[in-house]
Amino acid sequence: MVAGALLLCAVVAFSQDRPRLIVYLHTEVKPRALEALLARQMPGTDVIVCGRYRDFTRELSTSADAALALDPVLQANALNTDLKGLRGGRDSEPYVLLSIGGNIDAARFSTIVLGTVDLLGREGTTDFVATLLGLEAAPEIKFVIKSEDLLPLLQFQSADAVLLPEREAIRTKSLSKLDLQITPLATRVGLPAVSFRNDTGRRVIRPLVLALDAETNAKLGVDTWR
Amino acid sequence: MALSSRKPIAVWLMVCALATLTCARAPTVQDVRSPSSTFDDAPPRPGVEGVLVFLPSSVHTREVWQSLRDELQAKFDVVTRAVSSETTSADLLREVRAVRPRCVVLIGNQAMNLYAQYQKEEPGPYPPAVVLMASFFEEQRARLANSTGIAYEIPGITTFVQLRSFVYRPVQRVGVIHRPLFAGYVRKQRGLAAVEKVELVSFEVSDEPGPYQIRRALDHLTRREKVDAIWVLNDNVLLKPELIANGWLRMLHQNPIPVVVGVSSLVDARLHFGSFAMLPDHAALGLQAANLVFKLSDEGWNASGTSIELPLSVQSVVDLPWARQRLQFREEALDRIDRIVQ
Repeated sequence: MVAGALLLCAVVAFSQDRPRLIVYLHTEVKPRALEALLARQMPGTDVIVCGRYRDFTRELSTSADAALALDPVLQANALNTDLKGLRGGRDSEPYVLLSIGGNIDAARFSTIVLGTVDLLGREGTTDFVATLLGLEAAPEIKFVIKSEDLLPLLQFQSADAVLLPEREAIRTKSLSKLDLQITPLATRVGLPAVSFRNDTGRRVIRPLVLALDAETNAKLGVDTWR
Repeated sequence: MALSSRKPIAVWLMVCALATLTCARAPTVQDVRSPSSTFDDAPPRPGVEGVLVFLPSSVHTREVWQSLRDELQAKFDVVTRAVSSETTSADLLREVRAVRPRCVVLIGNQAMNLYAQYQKEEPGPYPPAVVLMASFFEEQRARLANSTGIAYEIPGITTFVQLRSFVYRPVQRVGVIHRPLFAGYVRKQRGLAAVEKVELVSFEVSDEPGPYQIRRALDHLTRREKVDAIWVLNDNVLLKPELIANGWLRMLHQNPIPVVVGVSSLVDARLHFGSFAMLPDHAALGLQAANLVFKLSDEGWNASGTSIELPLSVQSVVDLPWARQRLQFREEALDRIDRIVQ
């Protein structure tokens, strides 16, 4: 029993010494799988993948050496963007509305019921949605915890449209037999980015992020980092 | 390796063990007890409206409660009261009088039944009630005045769309076996599934079917109707150990097709009954319930006028060896599955 306790202490001490990367992204890959993939690619680093904004902010309040999240998420938490993810040479991506049967006219944006992932907490996401739609105040929002839950909102007719990145909308369309239509939005949203919170982050985690393989980057939604 | 009929005793023992787990985890009965039954509420704030939550203490109810509390606490005081087999409707009455909540959240069958009893015994008006994790709530709603909620059963449409993305084989016709009691539920599910171009083919058995009826139903669905998959309802009567061992498994091992269950313990790499399970995502359920409370708040707290919602989010489980060997499993789907059994 004493040996077990000593081993536990050693493990805790060891893990406290390792650099910690906190990841918060809504991808089609489950947090469990993403965490395992990143851990394999980043030996010697503790990678923690959060599926919810609240978990991300809680983890940030502990001793995180770096954070990887969408650029607006880093900004909302007053974190510098030290490394930007790029896809097709750009550091942002288009967002769209997905709806059944036809596009959503911009004149209707303020009156629709809109489904969206709870990206930044209830208040932050409401502001985020309003900005993307070019409105003073967001329409009625149905929040979901992960992007795969947006399709049921349309299937059950609980929302008139759902808000998501264009590439996620294309994937959702491929899963469904519904007549799903895409309404492009003018405002683009920053891709995943990394913030290093101290010298350990910059010295240890930065080179590991830059060395991620193509498959991992693709699952994070980027081609490369700059 | 699949268990064959050459090992009936082993199958029977395993099924009995799994059925015990099934009963412990199915939505129709109380969940696994958590070590602690306390719920930490923040101190009440003057002028802030209260939401009173009644729930049994279990792993799953705690997960729902945490997510619900996290969402609500900025705007409401969340007051939590655990219910147990000793709790009475008089206890609920006392809490409602003491807290004077703007809204009540009832989590689980026990809390819902106690609240229905409280409404029977006390004249209204009643605060609006949001019901979660209660079995077939749509069918029971009439028992509660001024109530709404979220159904606990995962809709077939969600299950089938997920399944389609997990296997290469087509999923166009799905078979389901049900008792007469579930005919209305199956009819509703058929309509929903049609939205995604999935045909739900049903076979009704008697109220107390034996193994032969299950085998006959499966034979009809798989050989005559040539369904692409089987969807197993969370009906404990159809999931008795004897029916699993001598009914379901005998047929399904002869003619392997995807079988989707609603209880994780039925996905077992030794038994190969459920090849996939689709389960409620309890954290997401808490968020969805919070959405409903905010909607009631915005619309004047009229729960009776608010539709019961279907659960939006699922967690998936796969029997990986079976799915790989027999079901044309898509390897890339592993990234999208919550739990892998092997």
